[in-house]
Amino acid sequence: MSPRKLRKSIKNSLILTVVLGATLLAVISLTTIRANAGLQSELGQAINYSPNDFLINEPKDTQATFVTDLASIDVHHLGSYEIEVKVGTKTYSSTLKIVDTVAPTAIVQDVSIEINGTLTPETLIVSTSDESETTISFKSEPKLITVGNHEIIVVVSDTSGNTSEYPVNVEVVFDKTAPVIVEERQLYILVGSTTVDYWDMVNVSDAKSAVKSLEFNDQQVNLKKIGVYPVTLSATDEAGNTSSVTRNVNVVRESTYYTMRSLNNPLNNKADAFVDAVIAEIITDDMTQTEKMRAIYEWLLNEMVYQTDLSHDYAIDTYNKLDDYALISFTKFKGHCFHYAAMAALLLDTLDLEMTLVEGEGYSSTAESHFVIHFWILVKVDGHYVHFDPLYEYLYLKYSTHKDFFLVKDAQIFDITHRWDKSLYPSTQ
Amino acid sequence: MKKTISLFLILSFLMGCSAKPQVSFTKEDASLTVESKTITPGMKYTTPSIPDWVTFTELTSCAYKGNDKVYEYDDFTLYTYSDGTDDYILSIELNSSLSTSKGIKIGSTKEAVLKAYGEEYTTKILNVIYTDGQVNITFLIVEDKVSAISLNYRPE
Repeated sequence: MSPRKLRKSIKNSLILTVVLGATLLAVISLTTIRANAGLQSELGQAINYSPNDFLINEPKDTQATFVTDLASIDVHHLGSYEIEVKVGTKTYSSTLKIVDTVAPTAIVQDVSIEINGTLTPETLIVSTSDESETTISFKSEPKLITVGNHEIIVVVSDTSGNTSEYPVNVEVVFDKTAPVIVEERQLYILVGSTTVDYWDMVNVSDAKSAVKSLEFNDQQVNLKKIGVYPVTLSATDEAGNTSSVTRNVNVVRESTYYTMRSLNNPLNNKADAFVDAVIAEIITDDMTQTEKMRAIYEWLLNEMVYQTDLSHDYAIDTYNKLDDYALISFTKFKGHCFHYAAMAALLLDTLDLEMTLVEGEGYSSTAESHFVIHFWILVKVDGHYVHFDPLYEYLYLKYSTHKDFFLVKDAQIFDITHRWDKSLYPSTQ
Repeated sequence: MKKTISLFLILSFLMGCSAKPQVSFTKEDASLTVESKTITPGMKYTTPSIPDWVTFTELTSCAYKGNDKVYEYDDFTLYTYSDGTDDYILSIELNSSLSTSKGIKIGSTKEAVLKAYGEEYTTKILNVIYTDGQVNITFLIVEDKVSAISLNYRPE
């Protein structure tokens, strides 16, 4: 054989060997059992594979079993998990991936907002559903600068990057804010009145539109009978937004009416700065209402000194003199009964209490009649009137006798230390 | 010897540093001398020693035994109370023309008050109060100036 023929023969043999080898490998690979590593299961779903699903090339009727306990796999967490399957005595190791390919779902709602109002994507979503955390965003930033309907696309995304889009209708209106009704002071009505301004001492405001109408419902009020009654106030703005509040109004006798009218009169503000200073000094937020009243009583008892004063013009326009007399005594810390009563009224008024200035008589050991003109305060606490008169405790202390005049009832003082015309004032019964 | 001298010098220096006079209020400071008569809150005033009052008012006292009395003079107003037998000065309120024994009058500055009466005072809202027992002198200070002065006695 020539060398040339020899080389050609060797080459052909090599080619044949390679072809036969490749053919043999292909046959082996097609007929040998192997592990299937390409299986996936959806996040949050049950794993729905049999042991044989994890094998390739297994003969028909191959009895494979799981070595791995599939129940130990947390299907609520993304990841790859090793799965072992046994055929006969041989164990095959495969991999199962927990994947998230399902987009989140959401229930959306149409909304209405004010022009140039703030809209967040969350306000458009009622609820979302997904195996993972979701985030909500606008597909593009909405421009809600014109009145009318706007379609907004809201995008719900999960942590795996799956998204779903929902169109939502946003109605942009000029004004959807209802008027704000604030009762600044309680209303006191003189019993027997025939007309009442139920909006007195009430502030109504509206940020966008003018207030168009004010209405009230006083069906439960009996102006002929002393008592506390609910009245519903309703305010509507020009855009048609309405708000309502219920305020309790107080139908009271004359003495109470004029006391509270004086205290509510914004012109009677001369002593306000002094009142605020005293209240800041003696009252704390953690006190109960009774403790606050007691603190005021003790302050008057300990800080004031009784002193006759030449000012007795309280007989004229008595109720409106409360402010003037309080102002004097807040600077001098001295005064007579009208000063004490005036200071007490202004200090107690900070606690939003109903009060009545009483003009009666007080016991005097030196007066021939034993009773001299005297002023003090009746205050309504928890729906019941009681007397408040620190001056008389001060006077008793002058005789080394302790007698409390803090929130006392008629029977404790009437005809003993105090006298008054009971027909003119509330009873403590 | 040197050590003794040094210690003496140090003490002298320290004492020199704290040589600012300490002013303290006594009830005598609440006295007022008018027409060569000295009156003090709490003192007996049965026969008024200063006779030339402008107005006089007498009222049945709610607090004390007998009558409360008010004497208005040109430069001050004097209030008395009674123990049933004698009258005692309860309060003296100065008008703008009269100065206290330490030269303070309505219109003086708060700084002048503190300089005259010292730093040992209490405050009650706008008032600066100097107290000795049952006697006090009270300055109502508005915008750093004295706007009212009263000399007071607080009976037991």
